[in-house]
Amino acid sequence: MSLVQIATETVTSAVSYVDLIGTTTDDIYMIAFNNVQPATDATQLVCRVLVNGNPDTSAEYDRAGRQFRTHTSVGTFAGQNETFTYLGGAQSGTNTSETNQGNVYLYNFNNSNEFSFATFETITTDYAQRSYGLKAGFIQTELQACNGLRIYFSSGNIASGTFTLYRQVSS
Amino acid sequence: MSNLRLINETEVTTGISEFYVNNIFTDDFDIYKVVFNNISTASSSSCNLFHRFVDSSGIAVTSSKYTFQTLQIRDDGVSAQYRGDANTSVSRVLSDLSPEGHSSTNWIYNPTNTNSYTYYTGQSMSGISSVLRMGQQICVLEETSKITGFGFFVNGATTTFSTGVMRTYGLRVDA
Repeated sequence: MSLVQIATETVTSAVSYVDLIGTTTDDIYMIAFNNVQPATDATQLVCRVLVNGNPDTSAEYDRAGRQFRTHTSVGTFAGQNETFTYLGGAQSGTNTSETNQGNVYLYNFNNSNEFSFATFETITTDYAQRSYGLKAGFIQTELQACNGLRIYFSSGNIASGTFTLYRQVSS
Repeated sequence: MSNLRLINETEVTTGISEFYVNNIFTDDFDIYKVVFNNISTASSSSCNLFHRFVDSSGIAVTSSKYTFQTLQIRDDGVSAQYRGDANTSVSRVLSDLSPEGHSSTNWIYNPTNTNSYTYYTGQSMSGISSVLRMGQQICVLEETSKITGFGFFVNGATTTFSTGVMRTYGLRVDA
């Protein structure tokens, strides 16, 4: 099994979002990101699917999974009919290593006869230096072809980070 | 060529109770996939394996900077949780005498970046004493030292490793 790079963006000065475009076949895709830090304190990493390069803002995002928290017990991560979905398990910050990293597998994004699915594992140091993780998934429940993912913070800009989209191929 | 590059494959040395592989993390990659397969131990009783990182001097990091959480899901429907905010290692996965044992896939982020903590997430399956233990882990090593290796040890040195392999892949980003 191989991963072939489709798109990448490294943020070194503030931007409001990163679009990773290129889920144009029926293969499985993977996004990896690391060192993703906000420009302002206490804000959470989120995403939306892209349709023809435009973020889908309809209330069609459902999510489920577990929220890992090193200072307390494992929590439930769930939501229905939201207008975006979360990638970060907590609000990250601007101090040392208050960043997000993780990987997201994308399924059926190119298939307009199926919903768009994703599974992901992420890990975050929050604005109070606590550690969180998500092991979860989301479904965008519209029958449409999606050509990528927009990643951004729930408020403020992305100050730094590397985001890469790969296509999973069989050889 | 795949952007996921195999950079090291190391077999377990039979008879040791600590299994670390060093010089696998370099500045060439920021993200790594580390796969443990067929990790078995010599005792017929199950044992606990605790993860640690290795610093650039080749020494396993034992400072109280590991913050982690493990969700252990069992085949009897029971689950257990282990966590800590200032530990000297990461508790825990399990192993046992072959053909039982341990396998896992772990993602490690930013190990050699001295402006960042080192992060990992992992998913494992252990067969022990005719039962199953599925593990979900997260860990942050909350120090900005350069980390160049990874592995685990048998807690309490109650037994030794018998078989197994650790494969490390780097996830390349082409500019």
